[in-house]
Amino acid sequence: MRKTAEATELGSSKVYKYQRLPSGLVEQLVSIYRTMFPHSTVPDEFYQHVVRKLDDQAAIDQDLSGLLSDGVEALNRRAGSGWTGLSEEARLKALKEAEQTPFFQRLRSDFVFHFYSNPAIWPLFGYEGPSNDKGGYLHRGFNDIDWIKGEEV
Amino acid sequence: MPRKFDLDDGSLMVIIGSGAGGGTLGNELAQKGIRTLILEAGPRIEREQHVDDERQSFGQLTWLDKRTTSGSWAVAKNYPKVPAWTCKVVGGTTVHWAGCALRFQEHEFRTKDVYGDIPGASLLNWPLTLSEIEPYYDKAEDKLGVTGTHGIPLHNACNNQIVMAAGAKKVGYKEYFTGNMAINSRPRDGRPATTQDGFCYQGIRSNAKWSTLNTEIPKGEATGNLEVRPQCQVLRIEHDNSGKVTGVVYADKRGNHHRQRARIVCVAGNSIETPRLLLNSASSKYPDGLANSSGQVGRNYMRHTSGTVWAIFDKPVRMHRGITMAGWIKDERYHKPNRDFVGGYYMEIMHLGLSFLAGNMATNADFGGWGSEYTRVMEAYENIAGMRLVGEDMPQATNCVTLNPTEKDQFGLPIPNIHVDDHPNDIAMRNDAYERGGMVYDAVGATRIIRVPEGLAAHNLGTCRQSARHEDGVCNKWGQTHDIKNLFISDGSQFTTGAAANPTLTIVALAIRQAEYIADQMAKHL
Repeated sequence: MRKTAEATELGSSKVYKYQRLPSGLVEQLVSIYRTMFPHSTVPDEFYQHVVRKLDDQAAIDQDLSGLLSDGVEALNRRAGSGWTGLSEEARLKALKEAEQTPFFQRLRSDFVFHFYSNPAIWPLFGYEGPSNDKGGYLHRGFNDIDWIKGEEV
Repeated sequence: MPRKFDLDDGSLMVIIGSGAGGGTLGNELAQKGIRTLILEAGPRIEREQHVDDERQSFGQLTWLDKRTTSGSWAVAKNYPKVPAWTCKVVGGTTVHWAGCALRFQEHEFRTKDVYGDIPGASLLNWPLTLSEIEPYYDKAEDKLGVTGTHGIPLHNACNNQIVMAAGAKKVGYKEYFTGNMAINSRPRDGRPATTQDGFCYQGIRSNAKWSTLNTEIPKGEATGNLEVRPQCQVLRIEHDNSGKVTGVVYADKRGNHHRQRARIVCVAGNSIETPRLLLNSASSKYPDGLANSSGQVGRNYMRHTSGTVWAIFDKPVRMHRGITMAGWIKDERYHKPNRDFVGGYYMEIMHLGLSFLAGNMATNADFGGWGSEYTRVMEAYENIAGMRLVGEDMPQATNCVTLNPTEKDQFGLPIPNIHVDDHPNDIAMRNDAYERGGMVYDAVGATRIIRVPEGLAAHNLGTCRQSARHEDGVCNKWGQTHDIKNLFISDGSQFTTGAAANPTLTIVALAIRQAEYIADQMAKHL
């Protein structure tokens, strides 16, 4: 995992206007995602990127807004005091209890799908992305591993 | 110049599908002066349009028409919507393959004799032997430019392979190397050497990898004897009163139907679409589908016993740099009677980009696809090495491609259902392979080993198998169907058993051999 500084440069600082999801819901979804998929050095922008994808989907899928808002509401109810007042441990417990719900599964699969396929995040993880237009890795380290010596192979 | 043939030309060879089987067969026939039409369901996407991006490429190349799946295999749970990874483009799945070009071993053509009676397995000897197919393996290796054959140098090891090879050496393996790859290690056949670009699955942008799209098809077209008609999906094969096939009905990209006449029809739609088409072509004369008097069409579907072993190290590996699968351990490929399973397997390096690794890791049952354990693994991306396990799975009569009784596709035809239950032998082999794969990485200091279940089926085999006896299979040792003399199976569907090897080289060898047979039969007025 690379340092945060690079991430801030790559993350979008533009103000994004959500089409379907109300701002309170957006904020809580980002917070839920940070608990579900904790990458401590990754800025919120990259988590918001996934919520924007949900917002895009909600414009097409009539049921999605309801699934998300109902799911968040149920999570708050299950948590008792509401999401924001909970400790990280209590948040995890609430999520674990919701793990089998369609709401949770939708959140989970959309995150795995959208978060890691965002090219802007690849440098943070050390994945270098498209290579053919840079001549592949033939002269860019395809065999540069240095902790295994030639005689070991 | 590419030809344009008439719909009413009943003297044509018509091939359905343009991948390893269909594309090769089309060129081989065209080179012999036989006028051949390939109907391909997908569009023609030339290599300049291929993209170095896993998701975009998946959307661009993959056969995404709905399929359903059932049974106990992990795929039914993890990938219910796209159980198989085949391509819907000109070039078929050779656009997407990793380039591993392996021969079968001698015993893998006669598993019934060698393995004996395995309860639940429908093992059968192939009607041909290794010595019969060897000359065609030679031709296929030359055609594909396979490294380590015909004086073609092996590739240099990339990071992922350097790690695996060091582990292999430490655990005492002897047969590890960068593999017999259909990716140029030096310029050959008008195509350049690899740049170790790492996007072997995502098309042929670099042009170093053999695919029918950049070799067989343009070469066939240059003879003037081959037409490839893209975005033409065959809906059914028709026959006359005598039972011989007379042509096909296909839908073009606008959905308009056309009737194409043919002298001979060869089906090469892969082991899912090939049996589906035969079943969807049922008629009053052939009520159970074409070439199905044995009831074997769709049965004995195989997909290799598979799984992935990932290893995390405390230092960088950068597995994504380099040829995706140019690194093999072959020591476990043999049939060893002292093991608790029959058949063998290969270990082959594999990398994924961040995007596909995220999906792949999410199928690991230990951490359920979320939470801090999952994110810690993802954060270790740079330090991960990985291998794919590829082993022989047992054919079973009940592992089969059938027509879904309720769901229809965009043409109103039943979609295919793929049913697979793991055979106990598959499970025992997979566990052994996981264990030994983990040992390889432990030997070089892995801090964590992660086992991931099999992914979408990339090797789809069987379903129209070759058999010596009519009642045991669908076609003879030339791929000619037992029931209908001018109907051939020309893809991996004809595999009697799957062997441990990646299948493409054998599909190509069978296609070269089939072209010779068809030319000979045509001279004898088939």
